Amino acid sequence: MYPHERSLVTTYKDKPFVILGVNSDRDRAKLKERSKEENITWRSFWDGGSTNGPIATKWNVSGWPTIYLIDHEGVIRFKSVGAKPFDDLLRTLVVKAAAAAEATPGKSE
Amino acid sequence: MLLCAALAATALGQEAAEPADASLAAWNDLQTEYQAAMNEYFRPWREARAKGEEYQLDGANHPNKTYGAKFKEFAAAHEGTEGAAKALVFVLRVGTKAEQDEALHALLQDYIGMKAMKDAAGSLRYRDDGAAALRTIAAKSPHAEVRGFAWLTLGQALKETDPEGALAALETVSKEYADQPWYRGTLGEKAEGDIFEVKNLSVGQTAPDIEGEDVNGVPFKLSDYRGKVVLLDFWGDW
Repeated sequence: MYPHERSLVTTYKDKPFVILGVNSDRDRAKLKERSKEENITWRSFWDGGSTNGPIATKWNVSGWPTIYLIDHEGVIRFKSVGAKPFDDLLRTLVVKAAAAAEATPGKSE
Repeated sequence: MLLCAALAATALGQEAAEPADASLAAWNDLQTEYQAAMNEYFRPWREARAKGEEYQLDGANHPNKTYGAKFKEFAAAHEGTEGAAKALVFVLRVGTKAEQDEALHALLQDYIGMKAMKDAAGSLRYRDDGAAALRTIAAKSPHAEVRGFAWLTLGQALKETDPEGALAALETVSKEYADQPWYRGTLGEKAEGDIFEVKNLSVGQTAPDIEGEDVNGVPFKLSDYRGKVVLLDFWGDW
Protein backbone atom coordinates (compact mmCIF):
# COMPACT_ATOMS: atom_id res chain seq x y z
CA MET A 1 0.00 0.00 0.00
CA TYR A 2 2.65 2.53 1.02
CA PRO A 3 4.89 2.02 -2.05
CA HIS A 4 1.93 2.52 -4.41
CA GLU A 5 0.83 5.69 -2.67
CA ARG A 6 4.36 7.02 -2.48
CA SER A 7 4.67 6.51 -6.23
CA LEU A 8 1.38 8.40 -6.80
CA VAL A 9 2.70 11.32 -4.77
CA THR A 10 5.72 11.41 -7.08
CA THR A 11 3.76 10.91 -10.30
CA TYR A 12 1.31 13.72 -9.56
CA LYS A 13 3.69 16.03 -7.72
CA ASP A 14 2.70 19.26 -9.45
CA LYS A 15 -0.85 18.25 -10.33
CA PRO A 16 -4.17 18.86 -8.55
CA PHE A 17 -4.05 15.63 -6.58
CA VAL A 18 -3.79 14.84 -2.89
CA ILE A 19 -3.88 11.75 -0.70
CA LEU A 20 -5.83 12.16 2.54
CA GLY A 21 -5.84 9.34 5.04
CA VAL A 22 -8.29 8.53 7.78
CA ASN A 23 -6.13 6.78 10.31
CA SER A 24 -7.32 4.19 12.80
CA ASP A 25 -4.11 3.46 14.71
CA ARG A 26 -4.20 3.49 18.49
CA ASP A 27 -1.03 5.40 19.28
CA ARG A 28 -0.43 8.83 17.79
CA ALA A 29 3.27 8.98 18.71
CA LYS A 30 3.96 5.56 17.27
CA LEU A 31 2.07 6.52 14.12
CA LYS A 32 4.31 9.57 13.62
CA GLU A 33 7.38 7.37 14.03
CA ARG A 34 6.10 4.80 11.54
CA SER A 35 5.12 7.53 9.09
CA LYS A 36 8.72 8.78 9.11
CA GLU A 37 10.03 5.24 8.63
CA GLU A 38 7.69 4.56 5.72
CA ASN A 39 8.00 8.05 4.24
CA ILE A 40 4.28 8.67 4.52
CA THR A 41 4.18 12.33 3.63
CA TRP A 42 0.45 12.79 3.12
CA ARG A 43 -1.93 14.12 5.70
CA SER A 44 -4.33 11.93 7.67
CA PHE A 45 -7.33 12.62 9.81
CA TRP A 46 -6.73 11.17 13.25
CA ASP A 47 -9.91 9.19 13.81
CA GLY A 48 -9.76 9.00 17.58
CA GLY A 49 -7.36 6.08 17.91
CA SER A 50 -9.49 3.14 16.76
CA THR A 51 -11.38 1.56 13.89
CA ASN A 52 -14.62 2.70 15.55
CA GLY A 53 -13.80 6.39 15.29
CA PRO A 54 -16.40 8.99 14.27
CA ILE A 55 -15.25 9.31 10.64
CA ALA A 56 -15.04 5.56 9.90
CA THR A 57 -18.39 5.08 11.64
CA LYS A 58 -20.11 7.81 9.62
CA TRP A 59 -18.63 6.44 6.39
CA ASN A 60 -19.74 2.92 7.37
CA VAL A 61 -16.26 1.50 6.93
CA SER A 62 -16.02 -2.20 7.75
CA GLY A 63 -12.83 -3.27 5.96
CA TRP A 64 -9.33 -1.81 5.83
CA PRO A 65 -8.14 -0.29 3.66
CA THR A 66 -11.22 1.32 2.14
CA ILE A 67 -10.46 3.69 -0.72
CA TYR A 68 -12.52 6.49 -2.27
CA LEU A 69 -11.55 8.58 -5.28
CA ILE A 70 -13.25 11.99 -5.15
CA ASP A 71 -13.00 14.26 -8.16
CA HIS A 72 -12.14 17.97 -8.17
CA GLU A 73 -15.82 18.87 -7.72
CA GLY A 74 -16.24 16.66 -4.70
CA VAL A 75 -18.06 13.82 -6.48
CA ILE A 76 -17.27 10.21 -5.59
CA ARG A 77 -15.96 8.45 -8.68
CA PHE A 78 -14.60 5.19 -7.23
CA LYS A 79 -14.78 3.18 -4.05
CA SER A 80 -13.34 -0.13 -2.99
CA VAL A 81 -12.69 -2.23 0.07
CA GLY A 82 -9.20 -3.65 -0.27
CA ALA A 83 -6.99 -3.11 -3.26
CA LYS A 84 -8.70 -2.75 -6.60
CA PRO A 85 -6.97 -1.06 -9.54
CA PHE A 86 -7.82 2.59 -10.11
CA ASP A 87 -4.71 4.09 -11.71
CA ASP A 88 -6.28 4.63 -15.13
CA LEU A 89 -9.33 6.30 -13.64
CA LEU A 90 -7.15 8.44 -11.39
CA ARG A 91 -5.16 9.66 -14.37
CA THR A 92 -8.38 10.67 -16.16
CA LEU A 93 -9.66 12.53 -13.10
CA VAL A 94 -6.41 14.44 -12.62
CA VAL A 95 -6.40 15.47 -16.29
CA LYS A 96 -9.94 16.84 -15.86
CA ALA A 97 -8.98 18.67 -12.67
CA ALA A 98 -5.97 20.24 -14.34
CA ALA A 99 -8.09 21.31 -17.32
CA ALA A 100 -10.66 22.88 -14.99
CA ALA A 101 -7.90 24.71 -13.13
CA GLU A 102 -6.53 26.11 -16.38
CA ALA A 103 -9.98 27.20 -17.51
CA THR A 104 -10.44 29.25 -14.35
CA PRO A 105 -7.02 30.66 -13.49
CA GLY A 106 -6.45 31.56 -9.86
CA LYS A 107 -9.34 29.41 -8.63
CA SER A 108 -7.26 26.50 -7.34
CA GLU A 109 -3.60 26.22 -6.29
CA MET B 1 -46.36 -44.35 22.73
CA LEU B 2 -42.94 -43.35 21.38
CA LEU B 3 -42.18 -46.93 20.44
CA CYS B 4 -45.41 -47.16 18.48
CA ALA B 5 -44.61 -43.95 16.65
CA ALA B 6 -41.12 -45.19 15.76
CA LEU B 7 -42.44 -48.52 14.54
CA ALA B 8 -45.17 -46.79 12.58
CA ALA B 9 -42.63 -44.48 10.94
CA THR B 10 -40.41 -47.43 10.03
CA ALA B 11 -43.40 -49.30 8.68
CA LEU B 12 -44.06 -46.35 6.37
CA GLY B 13 -40.48 -46.63 5.11
CA GLN B 14 -39.37 -43.40 6.76
CA GLU B 15 -36.31 -43.18 8.97
CA ALA B 16 -37.08 -42.19 12.55
CA ALA B 17 -35.74 -38.66 12.98
CA GLU B 18 -32.38 -38.43 14.75
CA PRO B 19 -32.54 -36.53 18.02
CA ALA B 20 -31.14 -33.00 17.41
CA ASP B 21 -28.46 -33.42 20.11
CA ALA B 22 -26.77 -36.36 18.45
CA SER B 23 -26.33 -34.68 15.09
CA LEU B 24 -24.92 -31.48 16.60
CA ALA B 25 -22.52 -33.41 18.82
CA ALA B 26 -21.33 -35.42 15.81
CA TRP B 27 -20.98 -32.24 13.74
CA ASN B 28 -18.96 -30.72 16.55
CA ASP B 29 -16.61 -33.70 16.49
CA LEU B 30 -16.05 -33.31 12.75
CA GLN B 31 -15.48 -29.56 13.19
CA THR B 32 -12.89 -30.27 15.89
CA GLU B 33 -11.17 -32.75 13.60
CA TYR B 34 -11.14 -30.14 10.82
CA GLN B 35 -9.65 -27.49 13.13
CA ALA B 36 -6.92 -29.91 14.17
CA ALA B 37 -6.13 -30.60 10.50
CA MET B 38 -5.96 -26.84 9.82
CA ASN B 39 -3.63 -26.29 12.79
CA GLU B 40 -1.39 -29.09 11.61
CA TYR B 41 -1.34 -27.72 8.05
CA PHE B 42 -0.30 -24.23 9.19
CA ARG B 43 2.07 -25.35 11.97
CA PRO B 44 5.33 -25.30 9.95
CA TRP B 45 4.40 -21.89 8.55
CA ARG B 46 3.70 -20.48 12.03
CA GLU B 47 6.91 -21.95 13.42
CA ALA B 48 8.95 -20.52 10.56
CA ARG B 49 7.39 -17.09 10.99
CA ALA B 50 8.17 -17.11 14.70
CA LYS B 51 11.83 -17.55 13.74
CA GLY B 52 11.59 -14.85 11.09
CA GLU B 53 11.90 -17.49 8.35
CA GLU B 54 9.82 -18.28 5.29
CA TYR B 55 7.85 -21.47 4.71
CA GLN B 56 6.09 -22.31 1.46
CA LEU B 57 2.73 -23.96 2.08
CA ASP B 58 1.58 -26.56 -0.43
CA GLY B 59 -1.97 -25.67 -1.44
CA ALA B 60 -2.61 -29.21 -2.60
CA ASN B 61 -2.47 -30.35 1.04
CA HIS B 62 -4.90 -27.76 2.39
CA PRO B 63 -7.55 -29.53 4.50
CA ASN B 64 -10.35 -27.89 2.47
CA LYS B 65 -9.41 -30.23 -0.37
CA THR B 66 -10.58 -33.26 1.60
CA TYR B 67 -12.98 -31.89 4.17
CA GLY B 68 -15.45 -30.57 1.61
CA ALA B 69 -16.23 -34.18 0.74
CA LYS B 70 -16.23 -35.27 4.41
CA PHE B 71 -18.78 -32.67 5.41
CA LYS B 72 -20.86 -33.57 2.38
CA GLU B 73 -20.83 -37.24 3.47
CA PHE B 74 -21.73 -36.16 6.99
CA ALA B 75 -24.75 -34.26 5.72
CA ALA B 76 -25.93 -37.31 3.79
CA ALA B 77 -25.47 -39.55 6.82
CA HIS B 78 -27.42 -37.22 9.13
CA GLU B 79 -30.05 -36.09 6.66
CA GLY B 80 -32.78 -33.82 7.99
CA THR B 81 -30.91 -32.66 11.10
CA GLU B 82 -29.48 -29.34 12.25
CA GLY B 83 -26.03 -30.97 12.13
CA ALA B 84 -26.51 -31.80 8.46
CA ALA B 85 -27.54 -28.20 7.78
CA LYS B 86 -24.37 -26.93 9.46
CA ALA B 87 -22.30 -29.40 7.46
CA LEU B 88 -23.86 -28.18 4.20
CA VAL B 89 -23.06 -24.57 5.21
CA PHE B 90 -19.45 -25.67 5.57
CA VAL B 91 -19.48 -27.22 2.10
CA LEU B 92 -21.01 -23.96 0.78
CA ARG B 93 -18.05 -22.08 2.23
CA VAL B 94 -15.10 -24.27 1.29
CA GLY B 95 -16.19 -26.93 -1.18
CA THR B 96 -15.50 -27.01 -4.92
CA LYS B 97 -17.82 -24.89 -7.10
CA ALA B 98 -19.92 -27.94 -7.90
CA GLU B 99 -20.09 -28.99 -4.23
CA GLN B 100 -21.06 -25.44 -3.22
CA ASP B 101 -23.87 -25.26 -5.78
CA GLU B 102 -25.21 -28.65 -4.67
CA ALA B 103 -25.03 -27.68 -1.00
CA LEU B 104 -26.86 -24.39 -1.58
CA HIS B 105 -29.57 -26.14 -3.51
CA ALA B 106 -30.02 -28.73 -0.73
CA LEU B 107 -30.09 -26.04 1.97
CA LEU B 108 -32.78 -24.00 0.23
CA GLN B 109 -34.83 -27.07 -0.61
CA ASP B 110 -34.67 -29.19 2.56
CA TYR B 111 -33.28 -27.10 5.43
CA ILE B 112 -34.95 -23.73 5.03
CA GLY B 113 -36.49 -23.96 8.52
CA MET B 114 -33.16 -24.46 10.33
CA LYS B 115 -31.36 -21.74 12.31
CA ALA B 116 -28.22 -22.73 10.40
CA MET B 117 -29.68 -20.81 7.43
CA LYS B 118 -28.34 -17.68 9.13
CA ASP B 119 -24.81 -18.99 8.66
CA ALA B 120 -25.69 -19.94 5.09
CA ALA B 121 -26.87 -16.36 4.44
CA GLY B 122 -23.52 -15.10 5.66
CA SER B 123 -21.80 -16.92 2.80
CA LEU B 124 -24.07 -15.64 0.05
CA ARG B 125 -23.15 -11.96 -0.22
CA TYR B 126 -20.63 -12.29 -3.03
CA ARG B 127 -22.12 -15.18 -5.00
CA ASP B 128 -23.76 -14.59 -8.39
CA ASP B 129 -26.83 -16.52 -7.26
CA GLY B 130 -26.62 -15.01 -3.78
CA ALA B 131 -29.35 -12.36 -4.08
CA ALA B 132 -31.98 -14.85 -5.21
CA ALA B 133 -31.02 -17.29 -2.45
CA LEU B 134 -31.13 -14.52 0.17
CA ARG B 135 -34.61 -13.50 -0.97
CA THR B 136 -35.76 -17.10 -0.53
CA ILE B 137 -34.36 -17.28 3.00
CA ALA B 138 -35.85 -13.88 3.89
CA ALA B 139 -39.24 -15.02 2.65
CA LYS B 140 -39.35 -18.56 3.99
CA SER B 141 -37.40 -18.86 7.25
CA PRO B 142 -39.63 -19.22 10.32
CA HIS B 143 -37.00 -17.47 12.47
CA ALA B 144 -37.09 -13.66 12.68
CA GLU B 145 -33.37 -13.52 13.42
CA VAL B 146 -32.60 -15.45 10.23
CA ARG B 147 -35.01 -13.41 8.07
CA GLY B 148 -33.64 -10.11 9.38
CA PHE B 149 -30.05 -11.17 8.73
CA ALA B 150 -30.95 -12.36 5.22
CA TRP B 151 -32.53 -8.97 4.43
CA LEU B 152 -29.45 -7.17 5.76
CA THR B 153 -27.07 -9.34 3.75
CA LEU B 154 -29.20 -8.83 0.64
CA GLY B 155 -29.00 -5.07 1.14
CA GLN B 156 -25.23 -5.27 1.42
CA ALA B 157 -24.96 -7.51 -1.64
CA LEU B 158 -26.92 -5.05 -3.81
CA LYS B 159 -25.27 -1.80 -2.67
CA GLU B 160 -23.20 -1.17 -5.80
CA THR B 161 -25.24 -2.96 -8.47
CA ASP B 162 -28.81 -2.15 -7.44
CA PRO B 163 -28.99 0.71 -4.93
CA GLU B 164 -32.80 0.85 -5.03
CA GLY B 165 -33.03 -2.87 -4.29
CA ALA B 166 -30.46 -2.43 -1.55
CA LEU B 167 -32.47 0.37 0.09
CA ALA B 168 -35.68 -1.67 -0.05
CA ALA B 169 -33.97 -4.59 1.69
CA LEU B 170 -32.24 -2.38 4.28
CA GLU B 171 -35.44 -0.47 5.02
CA THR B 172 -37.20 -3.79 5.64
CA VAL B 173 -34.56 -4.47 8.29
CA SER B 174 -35.13 -1.03 9.87
CA LYS B 175 -38.90 -1.41 9.94
CA GLU B 176 -39.33 -5.05 10.88
CA TYR B 177 -36.10 -6.47 12.35
CA ALA B 178 -34.40 -3.51 14.03
CA ASP B 179 -34.09 -5.17 17.44
CA GLN B 180 -32.61 -8.45 16.26
CA PRO B 181 -29.05 -8.98 17.51
CA TRP B 182 -26.03 -8.35 15.25
CA TYR B 183 -22.61 -8.90 16.80
CA ARG B 184 -22.40 -6.41 19.69
CA GLY B 185 -25.33 -4.31 18.52
CA THR B 186 -28.57 -4.70 16.57
CA LEU B 187 -29.56 -5.25 12.96
CA GLY B 188 -31.27 -1.85 13.03
CA GLU B 189 -28.05 -0.04 13.92
CA LYS B 190 -26.14 -1.89 11.20
CA ALA B 191 -28.83 -1.22 8.60
CA GLU B 192 -28.80 2.50 9.49
CA GLY B 193 -25.10 2.71 8.60
CA ASP B 194 -25.65 0.83 5.34
CA ILE B 195 -28.65 3.03 4.41
CA PHE B 196 -26.54 6.16 4.97
CA GLU B 197 -23.84 4.66 2.78
CA VAL B 198 -26.19 3.81 -0.11
CA LYS B 199 -27.82 7.26 0.05
CA ASN B 200 -24.67 9.35 0.44
CA LEU B 201 -21.54 7.40 -0.43
CA SER B 202 -22.32 5.77 -3.75
CA VAL B 203 -20.31 6.48 -6.88
CA GLY B 204 -21.80 9.57 -8.51
CA GLN B 205 -22.78 11.31 -5.29
CA THR B 206 -21.16 14.35 -3.74
CA ALA B 207 -19.09 13.22 -0.77
CA PRO B 208 -20.18 14.50 2.62
CA ASP B 209 -17.64 16.82 4.19
CA ILE B 210 -15.25 15.52 6.83
CA GLU B 211 -14.11 17.74 9.70
CA GLY B 212 -11.32 16.58 11.96
CA GLU B 213 -7.76 16.93 13.16
CA ASP B 214 -4.58 15.58 11.67
CA VAL B 215 -2.02 13.61 13.66
CA ASN B 216 -0.48 16.88 14.88
CA GLY B 217 -3.79 18.12 16.20
CA VAL B 218 -4.28 20.69 13.43
CA PRO B 219 -7.95 20.98 12.36
CA PHE B 220 -8.81 20.59 8.69
CA LYS B 221 -11.63 19.53 6.36
CA LEU B 222 -12.03 17.40 3.26
CA SER B 223 -13.61 20.42 1.53
CA ASP B 224 -10.35 22.38 2.02
CA TYR B 225 -9.10 20.32 -0.92
CA ARG B 226 -11.94 21.04 -3.34
CA GLY B 227 -10.39 21.62 -6.77
CA LYS B 228 -8.03 18.65 -6.35
CA VAL B 229 -8.62 14.99 -6.93
CA VAL B 230 -8.64 13.32 -3.51
CA LEU B 231 -7.60 9.76 -2.80
CA LEU B 232 -9.33 9.21 0.55
CA ASP B 233 -7.77 6.22 2.26
CA PHE B 234 -9.15 4.64 5.42
CA TRP B 235 -6.03 2.94 6.72
CA GLY B 236 -3.99 1.79 9.71
CA ASP B 237 -0.46 0.55 10.24
CA TRP B 238 -1.75 -2.27 12.49
